[in-house]
Amino acid sequence: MKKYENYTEITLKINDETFNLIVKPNETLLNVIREKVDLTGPKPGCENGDCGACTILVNDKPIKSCMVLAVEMDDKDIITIEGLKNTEIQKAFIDKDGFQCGYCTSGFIVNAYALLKKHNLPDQNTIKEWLSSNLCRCTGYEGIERAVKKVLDNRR
Amino acid sequence: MISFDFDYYKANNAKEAYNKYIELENKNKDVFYYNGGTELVTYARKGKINFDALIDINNIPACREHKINGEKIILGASLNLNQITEKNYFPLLSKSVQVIADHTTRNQITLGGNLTGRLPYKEALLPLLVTDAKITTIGKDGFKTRKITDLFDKRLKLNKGELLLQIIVRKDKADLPYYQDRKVKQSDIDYPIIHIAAIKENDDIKVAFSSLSAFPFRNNKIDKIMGNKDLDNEQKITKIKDNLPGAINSNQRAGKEYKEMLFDSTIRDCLECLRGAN
Amino acid sequence: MSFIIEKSIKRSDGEDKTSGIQKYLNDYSFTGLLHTAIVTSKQPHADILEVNIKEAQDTRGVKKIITGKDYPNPMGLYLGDKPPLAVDKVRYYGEPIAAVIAKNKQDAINAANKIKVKYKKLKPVSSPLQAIKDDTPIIHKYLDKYTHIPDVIPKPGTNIANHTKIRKGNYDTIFDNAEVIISECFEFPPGDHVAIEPRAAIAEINSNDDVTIHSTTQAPFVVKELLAFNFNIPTGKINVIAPPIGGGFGGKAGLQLEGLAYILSKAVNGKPVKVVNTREEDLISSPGHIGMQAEVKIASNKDGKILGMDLNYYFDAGAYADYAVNVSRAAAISATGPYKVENLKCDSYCIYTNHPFATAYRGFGHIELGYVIERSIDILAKKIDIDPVKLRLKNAIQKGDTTPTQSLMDDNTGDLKACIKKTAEMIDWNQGAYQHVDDNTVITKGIGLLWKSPAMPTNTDAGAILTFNNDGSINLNNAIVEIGQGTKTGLAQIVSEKFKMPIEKVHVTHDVNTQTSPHDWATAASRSLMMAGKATMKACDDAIKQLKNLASTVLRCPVEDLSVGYEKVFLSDEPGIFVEIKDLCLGYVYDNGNAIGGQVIGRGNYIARKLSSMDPETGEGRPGLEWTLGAEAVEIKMNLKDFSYQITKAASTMDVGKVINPDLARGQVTGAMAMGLSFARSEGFNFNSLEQIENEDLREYKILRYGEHPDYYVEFIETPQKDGPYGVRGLGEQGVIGIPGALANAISRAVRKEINKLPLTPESIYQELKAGENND
Ligand SMILES: Cc1cc2nc3c(=O)[nH]c(=O)nc-3n(C[C@H](O)[C@H](O)[C@H](O)COP(=O)(O)OP(=O)(O)OC[C@H]3O[C@@H](n4cnc5c(N)ncnc54)[C@H](O)[C@@H]3O)c2cc1C
Ligand code: FES
Ligand code: FES
Repeated sequence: MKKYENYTEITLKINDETFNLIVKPNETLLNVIREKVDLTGPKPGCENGDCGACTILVNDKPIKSCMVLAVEMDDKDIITIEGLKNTEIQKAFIDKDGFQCGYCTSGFIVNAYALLKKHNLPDQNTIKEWLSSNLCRCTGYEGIERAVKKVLDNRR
Repeated sequence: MISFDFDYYKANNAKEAYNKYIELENKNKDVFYYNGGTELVTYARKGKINFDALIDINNIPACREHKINGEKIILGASLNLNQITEKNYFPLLSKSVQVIADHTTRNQITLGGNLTGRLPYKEALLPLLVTDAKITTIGKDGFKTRKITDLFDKRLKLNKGELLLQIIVRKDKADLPYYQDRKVKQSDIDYPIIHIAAIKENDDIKVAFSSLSAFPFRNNKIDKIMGNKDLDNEQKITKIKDNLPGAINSNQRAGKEYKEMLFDSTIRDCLECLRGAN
Repeated sequence: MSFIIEKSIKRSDGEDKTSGIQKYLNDYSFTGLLHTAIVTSKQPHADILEVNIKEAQDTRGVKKIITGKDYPNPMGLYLGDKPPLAVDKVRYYGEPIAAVIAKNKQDAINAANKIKVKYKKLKPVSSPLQAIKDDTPIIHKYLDKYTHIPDVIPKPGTNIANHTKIRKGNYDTIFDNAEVIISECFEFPPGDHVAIEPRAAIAEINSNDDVTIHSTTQAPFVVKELLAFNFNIPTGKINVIAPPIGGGFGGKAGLQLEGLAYILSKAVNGKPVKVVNTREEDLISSPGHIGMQAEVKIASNKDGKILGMDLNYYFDAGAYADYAVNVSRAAAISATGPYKVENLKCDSYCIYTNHPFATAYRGFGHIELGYVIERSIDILAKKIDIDPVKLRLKNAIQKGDTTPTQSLMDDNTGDLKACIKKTAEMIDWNQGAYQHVDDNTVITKGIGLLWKSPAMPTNTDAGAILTFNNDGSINLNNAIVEIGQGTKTGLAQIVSEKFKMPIEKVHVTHDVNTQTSPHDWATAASRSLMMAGKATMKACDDAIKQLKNLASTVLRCPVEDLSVGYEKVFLSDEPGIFVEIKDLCLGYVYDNGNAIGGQVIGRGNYIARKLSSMDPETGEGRPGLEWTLGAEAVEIKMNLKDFSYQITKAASTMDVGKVINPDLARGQVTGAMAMGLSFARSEGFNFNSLEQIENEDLREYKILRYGEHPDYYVEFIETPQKDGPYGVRGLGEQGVIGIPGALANAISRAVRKEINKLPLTPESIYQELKAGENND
């Protein structure tokens, strides 16, 4: 049985790059990505699973990285917002004003990306089910809704 | 940020996990099984719990099983809630877990964690109670499979270190007509004010509740009242209220009075819905 | 035709913000940075008997522990009542008591957990109306000793931190013979801004005693000046750097964590120290949204012409005055809402309670009074049986009317009636405000008007500096903080318009730096585009003048014959003769090497004009610069069995003078409407019987989520603000103001009962109805 104590080396594959990192079991994935991999796109908004600003993808599934221990992710495939540059949904967020202050934006785009990858043409309820995992205080959600719709319109 | 240090073990099988638990326990360590981790990590940050070691059970093959085996549906304790909804072997369970937390978090919360965690809601439990599901555990007497209704009294009565591995549901029961409803304060993404799940088997109705009082429950007397042909709906409601195992309580989600009002209308809807069902 | 104004130019920060590249304060780290943890009070009101730090001091990694006794002097924005850490007394649940500085965050938290505080509990004060009763404990015993600015009028010996009086017309007799009088009470609890980025600050002091603060602030110059004042530091020694912030909504104006960060850095010989709020601290310990109780009396004739109002506003400031004293004053200035009211008595009190303290919040006093007034207007409409839209049209304020402080609504006054009509049209008011869907379901509508004038010092200013690069592109330097509103893009549009130059060639400063940026009051009160915009236009004019002067020498022609545009200075009637800006802007060089002119630096400034203080007895004066007027409406669908409801539509029409960037303007309005809906629907702290807060995280403190938002309908009316750049006036916060009243009006209509308390949860509606039944 593998034991992780004190500082242990783990391997994270993030955005197609491999990182060998020394971490303690009590470090969350969010903190390790931000502080040791220096990808600060995922944001701490609550560290309690409520806001979704820290959302990343693990094997293409959205995960709130504030509720995951980094050691748990040893050898897993991770994508952060930084890995989604130039995707259709990232561009749609600019085009449809899906952001204002930008603090919730990483989490929203990552989640929307996963949604659009899993479902080709999700219906209203599915979109709501997925995107209600994240909080935004600036936009009133209209721009975000439109950004997703833009990608769907392109698919139709 | 979690402010205390601890060790973390990744178990490969059930025996290994259990033995490690007992070994650490004997050394006076505070140990927890680590499943989805949502509760352990957030509680630890808030300083609401403390531990010396975690044993990750996600790699235990039994905990990951998700299949239909003849007449039985096998559900591993480490399946996350979205996996359960997606395969949909047990539609009532799918419905009951699809309302827990939010979609992203449901990629993380596990079935086992929901049944054994500290929070009183345990919404995944209700479908298991009404279908007389069984659970397999490993503990001091090795592997054991028992009826969940025998083990559940306010909480799942597992022994120290006993590890929940699987839930087993009879396929025929899982296919029975059902009713499920969940009332919330306002936002769907919230703990419930009331969660009700019921099935109809022949003329019998079996019903379980979460959140109504301090703990979830299913109760034979209430099942009988629900199925009693001599009572009309309003009589049933009154009688059920007289026979609740715990008082309807006020909490942050709702006061007693409003909760009772919702309870009444939920029971009505449930009875109406299941009346013609077969 | 305009070159770029009125076009939906995409924001310049789009790529960075959508790809995780944009850096916010907490994304910065550097070696040697020390970390902190704060101990907060679990009691709402108690004497501190002891703060024991012995065990904590011996914990691994601890550098220093600071308690209230180390900095006992109270300080504040307008009224100096709050020490950085509680000294002898805690006055709210969540108040900071001690701070640990350590090598890393984990060590800091560990040590903080070991600090033991002994309290002697005192009876908590739980509402403004309770606070002003005779036998209530006094929260600030030394109110008479606190310093304050003249516009704030505290009442020592009571819990009143400020009292603003408005007296206008025959306020004392108007109710005597009125045909119709309504009299209503309202209340809502204090709450929070919930910017998704929690507040943070880093402070550092070098060996020359230069202080550098990095902060999540909307008001870097306020931070600079308050630090200087409170800690006796020469202002020039302080530099505040403000990167873009993750939402402010007023919560990041004033002095937030910067003072604490400064004293902590000082305690470790100036080493850099970072203070970051957890979400829980951000909700509870840092200041939030003000609470309120109110009594409203309105007199009208039987046709619905409003004759007078008698308004008592009791604001729940919480434990400290901060911005709340000015919020209560702003609410008095706009007390009546956008109605013509010739006879008025208003007493607006800012009252201490043992709740978390309040600061500025989007709308600054107006969302609060807006809610109270708009509910009252609907109640009046019902009483005299007139359509609420008609009643509003009848009394809507217009050019020539006077405000509560008796200042004249001048030529710049927006067209409120047009706004009302447009909004009514968008929400299909004429199809009926109450529609039955089935036995258990109704669709109802509610309307609410809004007005707002920015509450700010009479000398509020802004500045702009334009410099050039050798490719002829322009750098615009000003001190507007990017808080999500996109003002930087709007300002770039103004420069681009002025120079008829592609917007890609206009570079706006990213981080504000108080040492290099021109002075600016604050990124608040929705005044940025207007004031910084004015300053920017002036700076453009200044630079254009310099360019033309130089070009006239080069082209050997009179200055008057020249025009600037398309990156050139050219002869107006012979555009083929020109010199490129890139060849002028850093000085012109002749073929033989001779250089003339030197670089062009455009300077622009702005200062509010003709603002005056108010008379302490009557409120007479001109405290407000411009008024944004508007009308909003909400449609809901309600289940009458359990009173759950969806908000299906929200509509807003505002007269904003001129829309510089339609998409950005719409985004501001939808965001503001969502915030108003969220506030009225579900927000506010829940206090238990001991006055401790039960919803101190985002699991429990509910804000509007995706899918709970309505369809938005947004229109603008454009009556130019003659002194604004291209006619603009503020629009950033206003959208929030009319919404709570509109929502409560729709709900009251659905349940056929006046619902006057927020938040509007299904259960609270049920309780109100029950209470009504019992009274009948
Ligand atoms: C954002 C959010 C929203 C939520 N909303 C809801 C909701 O609406 N309704 C609801 O019911 N719950 C809700 N929860 C609570 C959640 O369902 C429980 O906290 C659950 O325990 C988490 O499961 P987990 O797998 O993440 O547990 P973990 O954190 O891994 O474990 C929780 C506890 O269960 C024990 N445990 C886990 N698996 C086993 C096992 N196989 N055998 C023995 N012990 C085990 C662990 O030792 C630990 O003590 C919410 C949680 C979050 C984070
Ligand atoms: S920071 Fe992870 S959900 Fe808020
Ligand atoms: S853009 Fe600011 S929180 Fe979403």
